[in-house]
Amino acid sequence: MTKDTAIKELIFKIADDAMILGHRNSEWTGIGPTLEEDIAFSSMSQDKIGHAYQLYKILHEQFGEASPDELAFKRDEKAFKSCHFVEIPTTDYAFSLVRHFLFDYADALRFEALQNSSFEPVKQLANKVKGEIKYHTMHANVWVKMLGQGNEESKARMQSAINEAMPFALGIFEPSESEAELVEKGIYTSEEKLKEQWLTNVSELIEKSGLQMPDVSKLEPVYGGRNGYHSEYLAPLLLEMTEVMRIDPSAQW
Amino acid sequence: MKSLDPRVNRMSLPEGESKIDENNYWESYEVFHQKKTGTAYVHVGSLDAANQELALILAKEQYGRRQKTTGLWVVKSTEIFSLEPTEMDIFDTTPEKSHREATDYKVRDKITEFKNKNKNNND
Repeated sequence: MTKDTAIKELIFKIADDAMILGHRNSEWTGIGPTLEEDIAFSSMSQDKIGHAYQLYKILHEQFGEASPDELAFKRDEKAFKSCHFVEIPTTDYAFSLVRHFLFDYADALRFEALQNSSFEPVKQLANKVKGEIKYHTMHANVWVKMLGQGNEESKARMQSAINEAMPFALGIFEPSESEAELVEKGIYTSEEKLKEQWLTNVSELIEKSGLQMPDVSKLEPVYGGRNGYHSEYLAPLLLEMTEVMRIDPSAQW
Repeated sequence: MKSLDPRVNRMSLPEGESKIDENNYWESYEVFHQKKTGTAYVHVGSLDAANQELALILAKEQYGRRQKTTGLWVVKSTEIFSLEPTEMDIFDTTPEKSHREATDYKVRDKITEFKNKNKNNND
């Protein structure tokens, strides 16, 4: 595998995760639990779409891929490299919050690793967005702690969301063939290493919040997305996301 | 009343009026924003939150995302004390209060005279 293929694969998976989760979380816009939280959650979804845009731009400018708009709206399901975790439909707010917490804790570590990357464009981007991601994790900390220490209902709903989310969350760290090359060239770190750090970090908040960390050694991580094998939910999401664009694909915005 | 928003209808919320549990209701916070280090914090509005931490987190997006921010304060609205409208007449003082205004001291004339004299001497 050439160096370019490995970097491209890395950027595609981080960008696609951000794009799809940004879209999913934006589904709360207008119907969030309170006005203020609605605004905060929507704003963080926009941050995610912004991260995807910047990463697609790197793919376009550095590797001659299609434009960011085309990468977001005109690729087939199979070409997306998002993990199943970000594809799961929006159900209740507890699940969205827990997904936001587990995902952004992982994202924080990913971008931290990219801050030390030998590949300059992603390094610069990682330094630019670290404040946004820090805010996302602070937001998650406050909510998880508050609901974990809330009443019986909030505790039960958070715990079941954590139990439901965990196998999918582990899928964020799906190993890839090109990893060794990226590590060797100082571009990125290994998924296994990220996962270990992530487990330590998320367990700490879950336990501090009076909730229980599931025994991950007994869980089967949900893989497939990185190789284009997606959950049944991605196709309908893409159909909805591209609906307006498909009315007139040549329209100028 | 049925919502016009299909997303709300999909949620199949229970029928009837929803009641707010007094004990669980969030409190209102006032937000103060600083746009340059060293300048005064300016009251920019209020928001609802369950505690101080959440109030700060929500204030960041509510009042900080569209302008430069060097500082943010939140304070419970109930912690702000203000005069009642009926007490505002304490500001109604006698219209003639030139004795309290520094510009109107008699000594002003003498200072001007002294300054002029000095000026003439320096010429």
